Amino acid sequence: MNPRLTVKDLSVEFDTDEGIVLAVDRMSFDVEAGEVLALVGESGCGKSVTAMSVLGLLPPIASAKGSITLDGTELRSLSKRKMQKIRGSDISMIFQEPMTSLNPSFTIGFQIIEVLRRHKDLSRHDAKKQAIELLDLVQIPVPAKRVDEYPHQLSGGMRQRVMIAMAVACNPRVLIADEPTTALDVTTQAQILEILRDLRERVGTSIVLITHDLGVVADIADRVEVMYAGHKVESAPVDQLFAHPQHPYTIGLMGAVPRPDLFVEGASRRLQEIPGRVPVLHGKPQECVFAPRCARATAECWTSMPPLEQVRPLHYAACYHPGAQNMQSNTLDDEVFT
Amino acid sequence: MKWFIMRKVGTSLLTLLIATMVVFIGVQALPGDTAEVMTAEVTDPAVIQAIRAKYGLDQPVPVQYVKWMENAIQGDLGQSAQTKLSVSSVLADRIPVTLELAGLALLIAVLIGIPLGIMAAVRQGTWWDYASTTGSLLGLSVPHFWLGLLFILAFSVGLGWLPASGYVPFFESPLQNLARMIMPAVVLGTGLAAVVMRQMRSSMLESLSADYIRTARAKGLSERAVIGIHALRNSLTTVLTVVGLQLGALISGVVITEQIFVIPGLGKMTLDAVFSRDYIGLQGVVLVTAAAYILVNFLVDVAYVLLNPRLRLGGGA
Amino acid sequence: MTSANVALNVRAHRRRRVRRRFLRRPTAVVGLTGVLFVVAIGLLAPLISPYDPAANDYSNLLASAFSPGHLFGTDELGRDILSRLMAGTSTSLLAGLLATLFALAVAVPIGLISGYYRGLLDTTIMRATDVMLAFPFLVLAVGLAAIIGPSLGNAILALSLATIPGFLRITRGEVLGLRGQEYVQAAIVNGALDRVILFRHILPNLVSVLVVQASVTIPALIIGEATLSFLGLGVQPPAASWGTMLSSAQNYIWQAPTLALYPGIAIAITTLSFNLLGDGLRDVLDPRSKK
Repeated sequence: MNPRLTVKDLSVEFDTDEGIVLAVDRMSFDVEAGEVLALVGESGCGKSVTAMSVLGLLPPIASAKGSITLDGTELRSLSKRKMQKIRGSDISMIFQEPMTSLNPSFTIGFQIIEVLRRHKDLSRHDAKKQAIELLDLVQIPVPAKRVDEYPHQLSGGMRQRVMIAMAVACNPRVLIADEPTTALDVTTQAQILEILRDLRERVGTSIVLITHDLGVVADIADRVEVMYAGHKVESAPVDQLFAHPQHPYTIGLMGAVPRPDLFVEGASRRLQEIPGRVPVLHGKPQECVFAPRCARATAECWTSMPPLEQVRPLHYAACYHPGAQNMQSNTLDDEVFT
Repeated sequence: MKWFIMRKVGTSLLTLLIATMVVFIGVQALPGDTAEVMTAEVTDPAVIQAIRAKYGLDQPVPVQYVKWMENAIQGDLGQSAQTKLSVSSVLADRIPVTLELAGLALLIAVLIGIPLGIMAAVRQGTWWDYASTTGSLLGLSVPHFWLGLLFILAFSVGLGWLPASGYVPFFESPLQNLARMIMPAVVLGTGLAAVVMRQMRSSMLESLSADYIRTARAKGLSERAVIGIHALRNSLTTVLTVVGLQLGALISGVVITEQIFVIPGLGKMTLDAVFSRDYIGLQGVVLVTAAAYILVNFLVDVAYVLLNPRLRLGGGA
Repeated sequence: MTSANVALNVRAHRRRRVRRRFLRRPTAVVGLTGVLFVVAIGLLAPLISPYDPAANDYSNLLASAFSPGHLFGTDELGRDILSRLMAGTSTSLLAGLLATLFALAVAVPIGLISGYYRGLLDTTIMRATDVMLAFPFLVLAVGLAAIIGPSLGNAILALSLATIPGFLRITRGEVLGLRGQEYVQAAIVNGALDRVILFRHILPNLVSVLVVQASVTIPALIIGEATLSFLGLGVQPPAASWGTMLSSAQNYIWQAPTLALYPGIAIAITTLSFNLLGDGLRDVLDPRSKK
């Protein structure tokens, strides 16, 4: 089946004061209709840059290469105006900080109506009606009253829901959610994820979910792409990823998640930290980007960046020593990290 | 919010009251005895004493103050010793003149400063930006009166296009009025334009880097809407406050500008009163000036609250 | 390393960094150069002045620029303009600096106490400041100069009195903000003496804001002195001030139009330099400012 959104060999460079920074290197992924794809990685791994590239919202110091197609249309070759028409209606995005992502000087109704009237031919009256319906859709109580309120009068969770309402107002085919729940408390997080799940089921929206929170991934994602230092290092369906992580980085991420269910009587379960920091790349890497932090690294790993290869059905990893580790058992191999 | 306005009115009135006392006492401290000035030709002490009694100048200062305030509230600010004219009537003649001058200057400042500031912010780092910033800095660095002299040099002495001084009431001859007002208004407006431009640029830069701008772009809004609606709205409140604060400087500038261009407004009246030792006139004009300034500050504060929904409605997370 | 040594090192490092960032900005460097140039002239004026600024020469009135012996010509009493410009430099710089320093000396302690201790004292001081601010700068200065009589010294006094409320507000505002910072709260809770808190925690942060503010106040006061002298309320003849030179220039504007140019250009160069310097300092010292 033809995927709805295809990103192929996307590379993004930033021209900074300290030289050229390679933020994303030949990133490729597909998103099917109605699928939730998670982009996972630490801060600075390039996932947000990837998302902004899809929308064409990179700052002037960035230059991008590669292809991004939405249902066959090549987005990167569109004029500015055409891209503006696509943003908010065919592809939309919600961001991490609901506190500051809404304009404090306008009512939330105004800001929703704005996107409605930009892309659809609606009277102000009809737009307002639709705005109220949208607020109801994202489970904001008493929407008819709330629509005339200002962002500062809403809680963080409600503001994020308003953002979602704005993003789905024109029934986008793809919704990109950049860390939508990171700034919220756990209960609200669950509600937001519920709304996203509902969208996918009712309308068939494809969702690209960017997060560093594996719990969220486990909750809602269908497939996962793990990114590190601008490269994709692993790609798998979600249950496969959690059951049989292949790349040392993924394994490390899992080890760093507190897992009360894996507590073994008598044995203290320490959180495994991955020593070191995410590197800033100034050019194409001459070795595996994870090698400096990887306990499995051998001479081969230092000669070139491993290509992405299939290691299991539907499961790809970019590693010369992909390691199976059975995460279901209660025993843990400490051999991976010294 | 009503509570806020009430409190503001209260403090403003209190400030005004104390200001009147300061004015009165200040004038009392000026050298020269009003009674003696009034009776310049007469040297007989008895007559001088009689004059003093007649005008209540022999009463203790607080009593004189109260009397003055009582009259002032009713609109009577006394009679100038030199000109024998009622201070209030002179003020009534002069206020519209200064208002016109200040109004024109403000208009020029806003019409130049705001667009330039927006452009400089939107095109930050380009030569547009550097040119406007340097220009505004120049505008701030140049003294009003020198700018006025330069204008007179260029347009009156040099080109002979505009008259160097004088005033013609607007309703008598709009063209003549503007011909005489344009130079002083531009001189006054330049300094203010520089401040407005810098503040506008700074506010716009801050707004444009905000997250909600990213959201607006992600919604597919045109760049014009992003800048003109979202960024601008949040910048305007800051600019308004700054402009309001600058009005004090505007009044200072009025004093000098009216002096150079010989325009019969409040500024010139202040200086004339100081130099001719017309203390009653001085009292009146300084009072009016201070009251106007306090009023403007009050309005700016209120406007700021009205424009900012967070302050207007209060509450919320 | 003792904690005192660490603190010294940190401070030295910070100063180096500030200096480096400053030197990287061309406008700031231009400003600094301009200021140094003007200050040099002001200090050296008596030494390098070609003529005595008060020497009348009735045989050579209103000479134009580049006339023999007079680079900028002479004024209505035959005095050499260049010499008077130089003398005026000292006057203006003196006025601007002294007035600013005096205003700071008065406003900062009061602002510190007012902002730190709050209470009735603070409210009273703020009301008083509001009242003083109700009088526009020039009106206040003119009024004061009228009361105490026209002279350079009195003009400086009047200017500094008119500037005090502004500095007071800024100081108090900064103190209020800093007082709320957590490290200050921590110090208070730990029982540190008031004056220790004020001097060690609050004052250093205050310094950078005040330095920036002073560098834009000095040019404003230089213009203020020129204005007062122009109006006859400041420097009295035959002493030279850019303001008085411009005042006579206005009287002779039809006969000798160029007379009005030179003092104004001198003022513009001086104030522009200070303003550029101030802008540069602000960019470098105040991390919250936006360029």
